[in-house]
Amino acid sequence: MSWSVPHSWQTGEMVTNWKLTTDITDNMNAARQLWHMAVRLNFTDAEPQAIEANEKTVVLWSEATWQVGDSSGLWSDGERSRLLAPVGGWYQHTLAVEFDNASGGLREIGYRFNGAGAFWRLGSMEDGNGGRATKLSGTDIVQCTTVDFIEDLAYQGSTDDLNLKDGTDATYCIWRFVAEAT
Amino acid sequence: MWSLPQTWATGMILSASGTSGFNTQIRDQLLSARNGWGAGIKLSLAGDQSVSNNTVDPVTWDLLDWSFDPTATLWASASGSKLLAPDGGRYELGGSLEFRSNASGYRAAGYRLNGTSAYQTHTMQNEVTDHTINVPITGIVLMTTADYLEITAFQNTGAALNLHGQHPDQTHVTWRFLGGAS
Repeated sequence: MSWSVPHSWQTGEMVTNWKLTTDITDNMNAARQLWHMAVRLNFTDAEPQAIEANEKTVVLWSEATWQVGDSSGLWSDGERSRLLAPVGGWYQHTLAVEFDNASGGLREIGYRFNGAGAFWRLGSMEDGNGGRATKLSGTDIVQCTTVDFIEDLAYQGSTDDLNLKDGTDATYCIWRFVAEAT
Repeated sequence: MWSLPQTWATGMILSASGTSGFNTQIRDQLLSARNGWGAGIKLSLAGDQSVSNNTVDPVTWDLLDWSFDPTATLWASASGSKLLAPDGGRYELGGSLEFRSNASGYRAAGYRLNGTSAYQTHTMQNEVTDHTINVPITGIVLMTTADYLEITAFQNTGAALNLHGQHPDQTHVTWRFLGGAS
């Protein structure tokens, strides 16, 4: 069921079932589907992810925790790092990353557009000498054109590789359509 | 733009134009539904901004990153600190304050309503070395018409400390209308 540009009606024009179905029924369903499009992603313990020390590393998502509406265009397991923009417009992006215990160094989370370029930082903090499992979260609304994608990145400045914590509530992102570009 | 939908009556003559017409009631409403209900903006800083020591300072935004605010009523550069509520209802805010490096004290982000009532949303202690720290901002607030909200920054390093303003490692806020009060 796809969207079509709504008909501009003329006075005296005959109203038909076909026009009403296309213009109203189908478009209402399509608008509703788009409006509620969202997906939450996490990764499982079968796929641990090590973040190299002092390197910004792309986070690979392995499953959708839940989805709303038809979110098949937002993410696929063929390109696991990519949060996709099937429609040009604005998307809300929430990212939470939990690092394994380690003492020392900076932790950072952020994202980048289309596989390269600037690192858009969402959160940063230092782990002191406590050796805690630090967790960072951040949120932003990003503007995308059609077929753009963003990827989440994690950074840690301890002295060795450091795993991200897995499971549905440890490291996750939410990618949600907000509004279409007009 | 969305308008209150027509309540149809049996025997009513259907027209193309006018407030009860198909173009207003169907075409325009469908486009509004498709494009998204809630107006929103993203604001940031064109350059660094100083935060006084041991003082709750409002952040004055001077860069409109993007906008889907057709009536341009959510923010005005002349009163850059104010996130405006042109309509009563719930608004969502998100973003982060990125403080420049300093090894002392703690940082906080919050907001205040109409210049007085203040709420702190997040605090973060700097630890051992002087890293940049991002303090997240998030919340949903109930506003009445003509209310305004200001994002506030706090730090107690012992001297003034800058918020980092340049893209992409930036201090930013998103402000979005979610829906009317009911």
